[in-house]
Amino acid sequence: MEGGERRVPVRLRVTDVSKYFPGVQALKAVSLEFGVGEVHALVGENGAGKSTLIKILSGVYQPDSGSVELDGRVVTIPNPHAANSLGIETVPQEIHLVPLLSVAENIFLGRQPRRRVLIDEARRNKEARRILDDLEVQIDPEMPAGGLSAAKRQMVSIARALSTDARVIIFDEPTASLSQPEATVLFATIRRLKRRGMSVIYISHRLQEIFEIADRVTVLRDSAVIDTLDVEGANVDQIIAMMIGRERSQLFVRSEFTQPGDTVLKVEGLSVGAFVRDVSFEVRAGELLTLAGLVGSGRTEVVRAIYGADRIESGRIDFLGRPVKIRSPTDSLGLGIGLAPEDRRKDGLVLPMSVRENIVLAAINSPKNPLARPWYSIRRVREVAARFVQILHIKLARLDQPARALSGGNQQKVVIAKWMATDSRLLILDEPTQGVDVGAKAEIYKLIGEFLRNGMAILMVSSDLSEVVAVSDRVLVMHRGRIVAEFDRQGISEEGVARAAVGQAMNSVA
Amino acid sequence: MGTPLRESDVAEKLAGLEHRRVSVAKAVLSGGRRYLTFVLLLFLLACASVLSPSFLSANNLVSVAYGSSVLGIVALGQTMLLITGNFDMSVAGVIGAAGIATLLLMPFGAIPAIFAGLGVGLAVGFLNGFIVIRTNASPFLVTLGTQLLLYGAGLAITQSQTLYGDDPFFNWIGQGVVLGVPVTLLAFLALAALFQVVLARTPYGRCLYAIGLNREAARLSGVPVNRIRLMSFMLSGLMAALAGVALASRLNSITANAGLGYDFLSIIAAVLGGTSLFGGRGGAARTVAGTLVLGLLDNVLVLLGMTFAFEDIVRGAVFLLVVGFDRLSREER
Repeated sequence: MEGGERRVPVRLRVTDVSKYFPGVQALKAVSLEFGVGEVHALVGENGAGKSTLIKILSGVYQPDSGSVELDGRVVTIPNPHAANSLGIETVPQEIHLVPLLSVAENIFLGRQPRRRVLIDEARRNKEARRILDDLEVQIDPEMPAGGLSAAKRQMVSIARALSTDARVIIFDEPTASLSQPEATVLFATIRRLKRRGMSVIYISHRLQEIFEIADRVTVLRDSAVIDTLDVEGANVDQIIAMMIGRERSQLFVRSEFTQPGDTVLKVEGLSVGAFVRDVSFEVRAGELLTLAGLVGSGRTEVVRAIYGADRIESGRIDFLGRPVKIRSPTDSLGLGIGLAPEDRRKDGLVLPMSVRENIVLAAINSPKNPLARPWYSIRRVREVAARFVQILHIKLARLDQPARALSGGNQQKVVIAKWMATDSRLLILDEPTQGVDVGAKAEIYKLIGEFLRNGMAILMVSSDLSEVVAVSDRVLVMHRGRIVAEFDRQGISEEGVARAAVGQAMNSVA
Repeated sequence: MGTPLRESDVAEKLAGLEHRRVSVAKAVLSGGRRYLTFVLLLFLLACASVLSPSFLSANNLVSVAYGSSVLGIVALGQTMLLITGNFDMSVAGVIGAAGIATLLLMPFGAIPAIFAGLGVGLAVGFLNGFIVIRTNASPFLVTLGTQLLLYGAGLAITQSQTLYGDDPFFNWIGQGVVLGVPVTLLAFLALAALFQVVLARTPYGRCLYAIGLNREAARLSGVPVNRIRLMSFMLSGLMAALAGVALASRLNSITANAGLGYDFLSIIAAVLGGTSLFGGRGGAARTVAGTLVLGLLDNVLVLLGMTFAFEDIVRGAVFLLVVGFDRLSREER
């Protein structure tokens, strides 16, 4: 670690920590130091290793190698309880409080102060009030937690951490659900924690925040620490450059880009849930349109709503030039729209079922498909499945083996095969190469190229910037439920997309 | 982060560690599960033939199967629902209600009366399915509710009396014999064969399994999940109604609670055959085997001179055994 002179004593030291999951190395020999009274930001693209690191620190995962030292003593954190007794607390992105219990009860949940066998309510409420006052927040400890806003729930969660003599607090995207003024209050609280000597680990995608609140920032990429910098003297460009890395851009590039044909899908003024507002765009035959942006920016909500998986609040959808009402995925299937969902193991495949049956699952319900005839011909199903296994180079022992037994890349190919077996005109791919190894990735890109040549339209959601740049005809960037930027083939750059995704106007520099 | 969350995290981790050890036991269990029904069937046949030398005669075997065929028809409908991961407790009420409707309308002719009886089953199935799908309520509780409702309505309509009915065609359904085989038994076996084919060889059948194994993935693949679930509830209602008509015909009479106990018994029969309570696994042929095991069990108990009370004790024990076995041998999703 070159940047970041040691000005303060070290509270938490992580040395050479590695973590493997089947098929992926989630952390590669990560070494980091968190100082006493320091706010230390962790940044990186999705999948860079931030969450694996904090899950190790909070006892959810065990490192495969390396060590963690707390105040100079090597510690093991076998479970979340152990993390808490060591004084490591996490304020998660989604805060779970028991809505019917009071704020004070939530703060002391599981360790209520007692007088003999009964809970000492008076003492508990007084303690809770003291901690909340200390945080300078206006919350009545005796009111039920259910009625609190997201910001106040977060404060209760912080109060809970303080009530346990925490020495390290980890904030995971704390401002994701906060308004600007609420975020300002949170920052003031964090500064107070810092003054008391608390070590704060701060994870955020919003780079401006880091300049506002953090002392040092560590950039993670591809499961490794790239560098730790003093925030003073660093700039946003430098950090973004470190996050995306330069050398990857050349890896995958679609070989040909053809002139797109007629409009396949036209979306106007789409609103979904409480969050996605006024999204409009078109996708044309032979065109790959990418929705980029951070996880949680509303991309998945948009594509799921178009597909009929979730309800549309308002908006108009035209498919092949005709206005359509899509109420369910079955309607989409009938029209010729397919979806490869984000979580393919959970939503994309019926894992215990055979590869063969997974491949034909959509086709047997597609009205015009010969496989949908009342009599299900095992011979014909076999032929179809075998054909796609061959076309897609799906590696398997036999067609009857359960989909569970395949690798991530091959599972994704089965999902794609499912839609190739129907006559789809539009394919929606949500994070198509997430968790897929490099070889399978390249094959999936090749397939995407073939689809496009055959006049199919593709709508893709991707968080992988090098992928976005390599395969897209056009990119729309979403931020907080809205489309904030558009790039055409010539204008796409990782940096431009990354900036728009974190809410930075294209021409402003911090 | 509340304490419950952490505890569940811990539990999840422990479950992960536990997994390796359990999976060996699981493999043995699910291997045993496949043959359990047949082992039981042979065991009970052996018991019965020792107890009574005349037991293994063709006549006696047919009469045992005939005795189980009404339950078997209910269990077939139940099987289709179980495969999707749903239950139908209302069958116990439908049997009486369909029988009552048929006997009450007998003056208008046997065939219209029987159709009316079957219509009751379809309507109740529709109601069950509609409520379960719209409210996402537990199918167990919803169908238990309709069961109670049907009992009550049946008692009110019949004023708690037994209804009687007689008609040559109607009698033939429950009492007729074709080539030495009772009509009800023939119907049961024919339906079992039909359902087996539907399950194995139609898009509808294959989608039942997909829904039972992963409803969301099935939905996102364009499977019309709600339509198929509704159809399955209606099918279960229809089968229970058919059973009610057959029972009324066999006895030439019916009471509102004639189907008492058929809710659990039909589930036991299906699960004993190897259909999973958790959906995604099972078949009609297996349910025939499960039904025969239950029928034989009753027969052996009678041969042993056991009382009715003891019969229920044994059934209850078998149910618990089967449910436990099913849970332990459950495959991962």
